[in-house]
Amino acid sequence: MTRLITRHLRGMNTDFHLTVRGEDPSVAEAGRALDASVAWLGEIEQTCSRFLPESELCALNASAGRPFAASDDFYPVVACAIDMAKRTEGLFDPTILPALLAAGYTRSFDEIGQREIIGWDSGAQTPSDWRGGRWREIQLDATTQTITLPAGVALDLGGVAKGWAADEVANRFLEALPAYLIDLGGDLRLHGEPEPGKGWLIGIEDPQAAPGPGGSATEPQYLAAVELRQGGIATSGPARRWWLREGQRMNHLIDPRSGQPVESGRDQRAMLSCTVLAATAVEADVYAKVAFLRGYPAGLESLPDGLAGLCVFADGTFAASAGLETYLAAQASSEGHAHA
Amino acid sequence: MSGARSRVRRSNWSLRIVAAILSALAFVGFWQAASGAPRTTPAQPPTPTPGEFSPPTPGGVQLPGSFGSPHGGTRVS
Repeated sequence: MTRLITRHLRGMNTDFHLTVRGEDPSVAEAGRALDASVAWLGEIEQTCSRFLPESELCALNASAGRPFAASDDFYPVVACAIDMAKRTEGLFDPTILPALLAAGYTRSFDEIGQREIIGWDSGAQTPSDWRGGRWREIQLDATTQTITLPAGVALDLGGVAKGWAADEVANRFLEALPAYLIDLGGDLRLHGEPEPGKGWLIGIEDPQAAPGPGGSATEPQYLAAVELRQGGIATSGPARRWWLREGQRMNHLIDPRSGQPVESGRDQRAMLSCTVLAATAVEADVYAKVAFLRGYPAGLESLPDGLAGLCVFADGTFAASAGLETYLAAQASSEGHAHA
Repeated sequence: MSGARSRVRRSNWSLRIVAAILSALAFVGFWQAASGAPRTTPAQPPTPTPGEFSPPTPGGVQLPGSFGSPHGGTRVS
């Protein structure tokens, strides 16, 4: 007998949902793989959160200017962030922490989300202090797992950690299972078919119906859906993670070229979200941000080969990258047998 | 003398005809502007209605009404 087994938890200030297809006699084994995934996700949040003073990320940022010996879990996520910065020519930049703090993102989103921030330390950082591109100065030594941040540089892994963690869960714990869907706050990694002959049906949520901080209080509203059998999918936009700083709307999407939050367009053709499909969740996660920063149509046109995307505009219309149809056709024929 | 007068008269008639043509053209232009009559404009792509793609929906993308309850969803994060 086949059935879907799920785990729901809260992590990284968002909702996590893990689903696997279990088959007799290995249903118990699938459950154990899920439990191991849940435990590891809890550990990785303790490692990568900038809001937990005892986290390894905070220790790294405090040690800027001298070598830092990273753990087996922490080194790979930092190395991944630097790699994505290289691949996107700095449009994804993990050194944006000072710019985030200057925008007022000084506490977790559960505390500041969608309201005026109180007690913002305006003296901590000013936007004019921003100097992008310093990820190039970060030194990584894979042999000793040592990371050296230049003095004055601090990392934020919020733009990469969920996607990276989704891929790690897939590779470390769930790879042997016939089908899985890992949803870490809307950044998804999946494989296989939840039932024979059918892929995972993945909805693309209406960015204008995005719920407030604290998660999904209402049923999600989907503008479209795609059927997938492998890879990652993620969406980026400023509709959910925003706050008010002295009455001005700010959001977490920092443009590394300016150090400022991206502008939230107000006209009917304003792009509200960009969804990217890729072989891995971390690529989808990062390139969704990059595509949003580039805007329409450049964001879709400049996606690397093998990736596809679509944008949602304020008037409820869509635009798709030229490769989306081919991408989805390949998914339909993959039948869930090949791992991404 | 009469020949010279005749040339002046012909010249006056020519000026009157040109002026009448220009007046007629000016009136037609004014009428088009005032009445909103169609003029030649560059072709504009049709604006899609909400829920539609531009260009048309790529194969594999399902719109509301054509799918049931998704297994999961991606959203702005």
